[in-house]
Amino acid sequence: MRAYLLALLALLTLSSAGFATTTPAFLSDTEIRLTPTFRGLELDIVGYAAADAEGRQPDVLIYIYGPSEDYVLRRKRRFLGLWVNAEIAQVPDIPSYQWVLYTAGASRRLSDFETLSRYRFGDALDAFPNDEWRRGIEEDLMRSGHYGVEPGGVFFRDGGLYDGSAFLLSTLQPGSYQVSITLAYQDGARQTRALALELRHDNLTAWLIRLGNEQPLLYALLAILMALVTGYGAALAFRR
Amino acid sequence: MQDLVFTFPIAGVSLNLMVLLALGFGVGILSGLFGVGGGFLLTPALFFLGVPPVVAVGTQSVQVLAASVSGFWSHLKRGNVDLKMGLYLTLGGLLGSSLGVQLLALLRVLGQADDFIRLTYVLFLGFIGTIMLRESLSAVWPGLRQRNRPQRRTLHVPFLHGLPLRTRFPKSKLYMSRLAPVAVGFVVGILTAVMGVGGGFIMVPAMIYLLGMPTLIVIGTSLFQIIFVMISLTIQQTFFNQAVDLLLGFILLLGGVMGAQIGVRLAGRLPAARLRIVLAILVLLVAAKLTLDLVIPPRFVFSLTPDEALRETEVAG
Repeated sequence: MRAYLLALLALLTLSSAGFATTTPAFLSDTEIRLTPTFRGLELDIVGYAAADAEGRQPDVLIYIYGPSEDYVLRRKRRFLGLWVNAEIAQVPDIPSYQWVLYTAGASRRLSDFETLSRYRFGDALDAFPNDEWRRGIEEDLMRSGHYGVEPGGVFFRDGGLYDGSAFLLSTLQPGSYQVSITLAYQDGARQTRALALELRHDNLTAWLIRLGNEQPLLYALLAILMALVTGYGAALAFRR
Repeated sequence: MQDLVFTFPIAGVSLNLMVLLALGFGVGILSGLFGVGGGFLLTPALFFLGVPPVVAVGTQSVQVLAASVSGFWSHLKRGNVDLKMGLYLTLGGLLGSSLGVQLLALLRVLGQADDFIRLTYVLFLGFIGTIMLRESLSAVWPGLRQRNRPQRRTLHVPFLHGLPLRTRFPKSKLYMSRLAPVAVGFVVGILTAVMGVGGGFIMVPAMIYLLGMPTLIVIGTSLFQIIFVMISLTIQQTFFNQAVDLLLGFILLLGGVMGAQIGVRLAGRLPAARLRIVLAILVLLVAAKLTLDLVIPPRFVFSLTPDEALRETEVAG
């Protein structure tokens, strides 16, 4: 898929001089269906970045983020010999998925590299008392695959074409995701491009979730009916 | 095998379909063999697979219900059910399980539900497993029983046997207070809601040793109570905890109901006492694993989960 996108982008680049001043970019998928059998997907991002007047290629920073969600952070402590949740804090409004990838060496050259930390969790971490809790949030999200940083995750090919990829988990929240691409030139110029990505449940899953939230009694009766029919059916099927 | 991985949106995990079917089937056999729902083994197994404990407990009600219906029908046809006793047990069970669901909802808000469920399992599996092992070893090797201590058929509990509102239970050939089975059902109902089990592994010995019911009647009557309590629980867990994953429950019960039928047929053919030893050891091993999970320092002390309470408020709004 990535090779195909690169070839397409190369063709478009060669066919139009206007691309020298824009930041064309493409995603391998713009809409993903979250079905029960969906096991995750490698999202490819390809684009074109023109060199500056001195022939230097820009740093490319790709930031993928999902819809925001409210979380609860729990910290275990030892109590009477058992490790139990002893402290709880609410972590409001942080992206449910974040992936940052950039060209090698970008962290040294970007004068506002600290803005990468902005991509982490925004203002939500300001409420936390110390770094330990902030690291706890980061570790948990990284462990679950909902947050990651890939230095050198974007590669330049021939002719100003670049590409990178990020793995989208099967358990991601449905909603609108954004892929923000920033080209940072060494003279300070910046170009940005935003691409949209939609993750949606398939019709059956979406219906079940909606039913459970909006009509819990009906959802429960459906579960009970399923159990009764299956149980009685098995008894009949296996009767002597 | 990779192609058989399913993502369960409510549980928020991806699991292998064959593993779930095999798990449900194995526990189903135990259900039919011993007259228990099997949830006390299946729920911890779901913990180990990464299913959030609250969802494991809630979803279990579906699987236990199906397995119980499957087993109950066979016992009913054989005439091994005391419906009158079952009704009083069910009354207590409905009251107890309602209290249990509210307790679980409160613990979720406090962020202690998962740990409380695990700790409850440790205590009860350890207790039940020890009693089962002792009793089954005594049955296989009578020499282990104390010589001067006759084997008790019924435990005399003054509180239970002194209660008013006595009535006859013809099927069980008993004359006792209606409140006695209600009390037994109530305690079991609380455990059912908190642990995601049918309660048979507590109710069956309670019916035999506390109420004095014949063993032949106990299993079918226990399944009768489990059916109605599970129906109530499924509704309550959906309403208050949004903890029933229909897809996960369906896969588990497919294996479970088939296994229950096999178990019923094996019940009369296999050496029950020796099998109870195996079951007791399995129960104790599960309790040991859960204990280790609670006692050993966790690799990660922080855990981040979606704020369910706030999400429910937004959905309700």
